[in-house]
Amino acid sequence: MNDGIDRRGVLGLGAGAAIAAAMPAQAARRAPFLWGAATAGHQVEGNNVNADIWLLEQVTPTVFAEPSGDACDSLYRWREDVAIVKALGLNCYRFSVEWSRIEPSPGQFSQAYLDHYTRIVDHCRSLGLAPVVTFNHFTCPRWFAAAGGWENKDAPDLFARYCDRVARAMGAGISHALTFNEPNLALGGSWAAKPPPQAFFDKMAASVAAAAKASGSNRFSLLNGGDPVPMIPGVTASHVQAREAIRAARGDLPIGMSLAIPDNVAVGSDSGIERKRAEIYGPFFDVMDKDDFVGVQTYGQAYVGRDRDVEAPASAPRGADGKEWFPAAIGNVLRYVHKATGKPVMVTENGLDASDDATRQRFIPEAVASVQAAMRDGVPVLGYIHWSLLDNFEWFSGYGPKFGLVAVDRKSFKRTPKPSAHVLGQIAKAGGVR
Amino acid sequence: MTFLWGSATAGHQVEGNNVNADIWLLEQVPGTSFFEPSGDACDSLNRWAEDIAIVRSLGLNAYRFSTEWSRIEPAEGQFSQAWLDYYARIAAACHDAGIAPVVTLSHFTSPRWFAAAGGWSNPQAPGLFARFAGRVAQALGAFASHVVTFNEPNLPLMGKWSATPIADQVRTGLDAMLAAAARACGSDRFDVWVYSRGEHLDTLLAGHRAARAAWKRMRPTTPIGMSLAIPDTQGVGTQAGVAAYRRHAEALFFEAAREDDFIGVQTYGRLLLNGDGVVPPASEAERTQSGDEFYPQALGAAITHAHRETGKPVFVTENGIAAASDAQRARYIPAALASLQAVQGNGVPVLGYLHWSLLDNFEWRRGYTQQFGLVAVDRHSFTRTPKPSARVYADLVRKAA
Repeated sequence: MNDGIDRRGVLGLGAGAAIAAAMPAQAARRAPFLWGAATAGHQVEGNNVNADIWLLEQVTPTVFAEPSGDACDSLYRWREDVAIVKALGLNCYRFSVEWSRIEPSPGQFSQAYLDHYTRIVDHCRSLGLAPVVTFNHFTCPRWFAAAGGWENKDAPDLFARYCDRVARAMGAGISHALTFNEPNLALGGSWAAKPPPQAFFDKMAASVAAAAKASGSNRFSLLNGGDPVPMIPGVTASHVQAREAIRAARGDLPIGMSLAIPDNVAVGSDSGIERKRAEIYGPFFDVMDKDDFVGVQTYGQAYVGRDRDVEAPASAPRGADGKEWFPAAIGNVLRYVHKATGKPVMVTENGLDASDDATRQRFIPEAVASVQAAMRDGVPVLGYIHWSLLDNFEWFSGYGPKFGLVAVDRKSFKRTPKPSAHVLGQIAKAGGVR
Repeated sequence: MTFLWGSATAGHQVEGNNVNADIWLLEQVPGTSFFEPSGDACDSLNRWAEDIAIVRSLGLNAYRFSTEWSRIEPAEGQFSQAWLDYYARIAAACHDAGIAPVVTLSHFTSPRWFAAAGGWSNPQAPGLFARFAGRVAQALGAFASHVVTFNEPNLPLMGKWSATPIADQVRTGLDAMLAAAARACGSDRFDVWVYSRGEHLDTLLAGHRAARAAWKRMRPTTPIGMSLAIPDTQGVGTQAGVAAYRRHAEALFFEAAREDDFIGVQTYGRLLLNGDGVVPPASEAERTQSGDEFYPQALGAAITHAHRETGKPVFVTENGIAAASDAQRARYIPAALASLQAVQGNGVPVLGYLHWSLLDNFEWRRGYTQQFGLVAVDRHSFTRTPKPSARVYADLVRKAA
């Protein structure tokens, strides 16, 4: 597939996370393999009204198909979510903590929300589930965006201060920490085979300007909401500073970050595949040298021509419906990332938008098999976390896409596991596919 | 009908992180008049079941709380089923515990978007408020024992007559704070009723009527009223000041309340008025933590006055004292209740008495500096600890029953 804008939207539709183990390879091998499912705060909690993206959903114009509203009401129903993960036979739950709830105004931290997320961590632990916690899953507080976001020179200090508070509150129970979710996603846009029309970017710019005005500011800056290039140095510096802050709170907590990485396939003798990798993953790999693992989030393949991605060739694997079908992409990406970084890797997201759950039931065993094949070849893989536990708010696309192992009624919020959830659960209980 | 003995809270003052409310923004703007921001308040957002359990443990049979409009309708016309469900759970839990839930629809706070659209200066406001009221009725109307549309909507009109609300000298500061909030949300206005000059009263009262009608369409039998701040106004040498005060700060509200099922009375003390205005309490008078005169017997006179003006049964929806020493509250409660029981003996119909407040909470511009609670709340752990005055109150309630 093509990463970035054309496929999953600038905002990282179905984006994922990463995992890793700060542990030496031997210890990592002893740790149980993590079988999990992932969510992200803004996509499931509901009413995340103090977040930058919530405001972008509300202003005129907006690029969002619909507002997030109540999402899955996981702010209240998180115990149900954790219970489902447990009942399926998984041993890991990935979720994110919402910065805008924990620090609603600069420097004003909410003990109540720190307690809230600590309860989730502790509850996972009490059930024997490993909590993989994302510190930043796309959303930031409104005040942070209005102060210039990642382009603000104070961004690393601000983000590290927040990460310090989170780590001190709940770090003891966290299994693996991810600073950022797919901070490289927007960079992928410049390589997209089918970038959005200029009208999309114009609308986004108008939307961001409206959010600035609604914030009484002349700025409103967020990743996935504008030109990412000037933001990346702030993000990478923030990652480094956050990692050190988290480590100061708990030295043995494995830390990484999750990157959106498709299975890149070179097309033609002049393919720009290495240049693409250097541009989109390089800046992040460079600052992950002291990380414990790399989180890998893969949603398919990308065919890389000289200067950008190109349409899949006729020979590309396709499903009965004619759409790309290559669940084994994740295995290839794990090999690549481990080779490029030397780090243990964790599948922090992998999945697909499928309204027909039968497709997901076929996808999961094939994807897992490719992960196991990579492991047999010596790639240290810490876990496989499927995106997503729930059908949820998929950013620009609203509630249209269905990435969930579990269906959620949009009015009663009732959760109903789909057959694919049990497919993953059975694999987890069996320790893999045969 | 059983007399209701209870205690009261209000959403913004106890829930915490009510970030989409107009007043939350006022707390945050540069140059704010607030002593400190509300922050986590009492974390009642998570701990409301503890609050209800305390009410029950004191032997009370009523609990007053408010529904936060800014949570239920975070953007205009976008209603949150999740938050409606949340408040319905609170009302249902009260009901299941044998506690009458008294629901306030608007306790000073409104959504930011409502303030930025002009608040009660917006001609659309009554319809907006009524639509919200209808959704609340739909969600928890089956459980609510009584509904209060507005909490103390007459407060801005008490202005120059009152020692505690908005005095002229702070008006400039309030205007600057409201202007800063308008800038902070990119609007040319930001109207918050309780910090206003009380203009557009007709619109506000239209909102009261429209909300009452919207609720009644859904739940015709729920008793509905509004709660007014009613001190025991006493003339000094002349009744002219009292008459002027009542014309300005009470008359139109009482007129509207004559269409209601009850009149909510909230009394904290007395107001001495001569022909020119407020007469300060005697220098030797005992004071409360807020600097007001300690005068618990005000309650009975306020109840009688409200009943006489409206002909309606009276519901004491707030009565209490800011007390640094809980012993002062322990003296206040028996004296206040004695005055209440005296007027009941005179035949004035009183539906119930709700003490303000269950918890030490966020007292608006004064932040957490004043303790009105029957229950202390640790500002870090949020641990609740009933005070001796809570036991005094509980004992009186048991004897009265």
